[in-house]
Amino acid sequence: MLFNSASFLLFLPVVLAGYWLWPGNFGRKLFLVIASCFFYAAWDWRFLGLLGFVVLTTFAASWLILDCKERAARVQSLVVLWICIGLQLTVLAFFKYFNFFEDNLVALLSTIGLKSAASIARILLPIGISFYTFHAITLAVDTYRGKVNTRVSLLDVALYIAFFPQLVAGPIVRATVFLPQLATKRQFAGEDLFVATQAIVTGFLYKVVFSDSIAPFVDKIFERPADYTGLLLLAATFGFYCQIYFDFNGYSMIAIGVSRLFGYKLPDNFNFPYAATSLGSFWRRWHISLSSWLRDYLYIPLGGNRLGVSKQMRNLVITMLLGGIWHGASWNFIIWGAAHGTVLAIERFSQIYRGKILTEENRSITSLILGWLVTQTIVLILWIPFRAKTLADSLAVISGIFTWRTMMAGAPVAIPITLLILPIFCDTVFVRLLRSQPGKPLRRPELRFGLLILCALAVGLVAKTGLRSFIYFQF
Amino acid sequence: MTVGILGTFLLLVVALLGGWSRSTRLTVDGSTESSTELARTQLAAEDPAHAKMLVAGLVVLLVWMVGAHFWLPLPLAFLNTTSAQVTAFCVEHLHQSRPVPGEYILIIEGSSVTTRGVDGAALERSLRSAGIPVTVIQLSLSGANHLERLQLLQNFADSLSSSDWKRLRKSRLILGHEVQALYDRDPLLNYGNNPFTPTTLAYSNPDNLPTLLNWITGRYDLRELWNRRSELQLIATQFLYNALRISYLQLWDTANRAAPCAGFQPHPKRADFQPAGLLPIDFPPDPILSGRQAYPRVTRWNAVRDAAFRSIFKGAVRSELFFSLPGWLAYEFNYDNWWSHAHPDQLFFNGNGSQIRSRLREPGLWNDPGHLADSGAEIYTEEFAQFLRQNWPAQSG
Repeated sequence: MLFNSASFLLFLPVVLAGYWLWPGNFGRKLFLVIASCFFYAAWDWRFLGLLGFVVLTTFAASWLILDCKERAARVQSLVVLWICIGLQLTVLAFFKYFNFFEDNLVALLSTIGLKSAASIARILLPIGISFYTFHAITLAVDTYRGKVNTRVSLLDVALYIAFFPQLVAGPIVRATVFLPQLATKRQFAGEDLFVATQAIVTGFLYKVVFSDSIAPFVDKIFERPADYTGLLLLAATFGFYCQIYFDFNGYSMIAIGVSRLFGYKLPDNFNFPYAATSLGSFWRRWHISLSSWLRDYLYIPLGGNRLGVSKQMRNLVITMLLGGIWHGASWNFIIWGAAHGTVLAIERFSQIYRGKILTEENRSITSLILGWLVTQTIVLILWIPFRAKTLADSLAVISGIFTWRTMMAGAPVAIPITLLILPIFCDTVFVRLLRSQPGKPLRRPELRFGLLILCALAVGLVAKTGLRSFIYFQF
Repeated sequence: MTVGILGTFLLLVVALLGGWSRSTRLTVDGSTESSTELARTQLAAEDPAHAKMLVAGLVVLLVWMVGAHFWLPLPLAFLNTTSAQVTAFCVEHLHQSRPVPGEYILIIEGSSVTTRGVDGAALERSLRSAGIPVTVIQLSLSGANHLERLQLLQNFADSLSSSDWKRLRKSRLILGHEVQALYDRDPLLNYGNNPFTPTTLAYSNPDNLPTLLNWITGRYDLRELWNRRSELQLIATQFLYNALRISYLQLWDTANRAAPCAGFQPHPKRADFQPAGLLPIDFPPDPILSGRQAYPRVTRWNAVRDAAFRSIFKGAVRSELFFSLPGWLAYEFNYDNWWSHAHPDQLFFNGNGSQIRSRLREPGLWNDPGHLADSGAEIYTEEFAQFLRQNWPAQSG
């Protein structure tokens, strides 16, 4: 069930009504778990078993780790933690990477003259698996680290992992953020209603108006990139630069908004990444829940900044490489991750070499503008392997742009200039400015809410026809 | 162009409304930003009452729906569909035919069997040559469900000028209904799955909701309704989408002025239709279905449907006629024969009668087992015209 589907439009009010009408906190949480299972089963009920397995193993691991800690059995708790992480990663690897490894193994064997038949069965990727396995790992690690130091009930573990707004594409919420909110019965507040509605309306605007309107143009060019001119390839790459931001940020905002309608706060997943003036800053603003997860659960355990310059560089590349692989089983994602890691390592090295960490506050205007241009150009170019279907397609797009190909073999395509420039510019400059304002009293909230509903209806009026899935659902 | 500008404007308005900057922003590790936290503390006492907000939201929703009803007519958003093109053709045809005193106007409505089997122009020529001053308006549509057929008639009626209405009232208006076994037993057939007019969803018009509910409750019991739950969900969402005018602007943007398209769409024989022999003249009766139990139960809602179709013409319909088309399936054959016996008072041209079936035995006259090919349509129209010539004066004068 997609957020932008008609069935979700019917599902959400029913679940909201059931949740808020239920008197007790336990009943509400149980109702939400059941609703989340229904939400997941609407896609494929068979994978509910897998979700249940992840919940049960995480629940068992968190209890066992706490047991071990109470008995001061540090080694045993570490063993339990690794078993739990191993199980989650096995589940993830099997469903997500089996086909990729098999295809590459068959290809490799055939190049050395050994013929091997691929298995007939293709493994179906369970939607949201990358997100809920990361939630599971988060809870186990946080329990081991002592950040979660009380026994979490099975119901709370189930809700933390399977809560439907963030089940299929995040944000990846920390156990320390979500579990305390489950402890008390949520109160229905006007502020929550307003902020949630504002997030949902913005999310839908991003998704069904901007992203879905840009998508047909981008899809057409990336379908056969060798047929198009350098200008069109550049426009399509810029189109994808806008599309993925609106699509994933749109999804995240709807998830945050829907969650807030139930009284639960989820952290922001984006903070105007296209305003970033360095790649490090970009990753502190883009898919924040994943990048900070990789930092806290991978980069820092690998040694982080603590083991000298060369190891710091190595850790950055490994972290981003694994971040690329997390996105999907394809050479394109590996290249995308490795390239980001390499550029981040170079950026960090230059800062260490100069002995000064550059922030937006201590840089000159010229440096900021130059930094923004370089950063965004790198981000733009690196979206090419992320979007292209194959490695050959990526090369076709890059060569077409850099050789400024003028001959075109495909049918003419008009560039939707207004869609590519206006929304992204307005979002990065004006909306960013408005959102950075300090809090002020919300005068005439009912009038503002009425206007918000009017905007929501106007978004529906402009919405793109047809149902297009969110890009991040494939991860 | 419109989408980019309007969308950006909406983005600014939503951001200007200001709730985000007031709200506590949560970081990934759960801490909050101090400045906004402070603002939150100061504002805690004047937290807006959610009840007032909900009322305001509902009022806006209501005003929007009423405003949309008057200012954003649904058919305008579906101008590029076959339904709109057929309507345009029929209105044009009515304007082209010269009104004569004592004239008849025959409106034929139906689904794909009529679209491929009844040549409205040939029927009109044949009847006129026999001295009947008639204008045939063929408002049939391939794959159309019942509500779509209702909306098609409605679109036609809405497109008529006051002088057209005057002419309709002065003439002897006959409404011709297709009788078809699969359609007549199921008000939801082809509801959300019309392969021919995939975007003609204007029929899920909130104005049509009472009519549809009337048909559904007249046809199904609770158990049957449960079995059709996925279709009912689809219907509910289609109505909701149209009531709120979701995607209206983009539909309207892409809708060109409807290029007229005739209701009669002849098809050649399909290459993959290769029956073993000739069309059987008849089939043995089906004791279960024609046992006067199943058919009456599943078709009792038809009278309500026909009344709804009739009501669109605001009392101008003088009489009705019914017609069916032949087919290779025993079920349809038995149904038509049951229909002719069950409705002795209705003027009914049975397309599955032995005379016409004997003329349509060659597989080459068929597009597929359920539809006539162009050459078959010619024969069928000829037989239909002859039937009307013989029965006309007595029934509709």
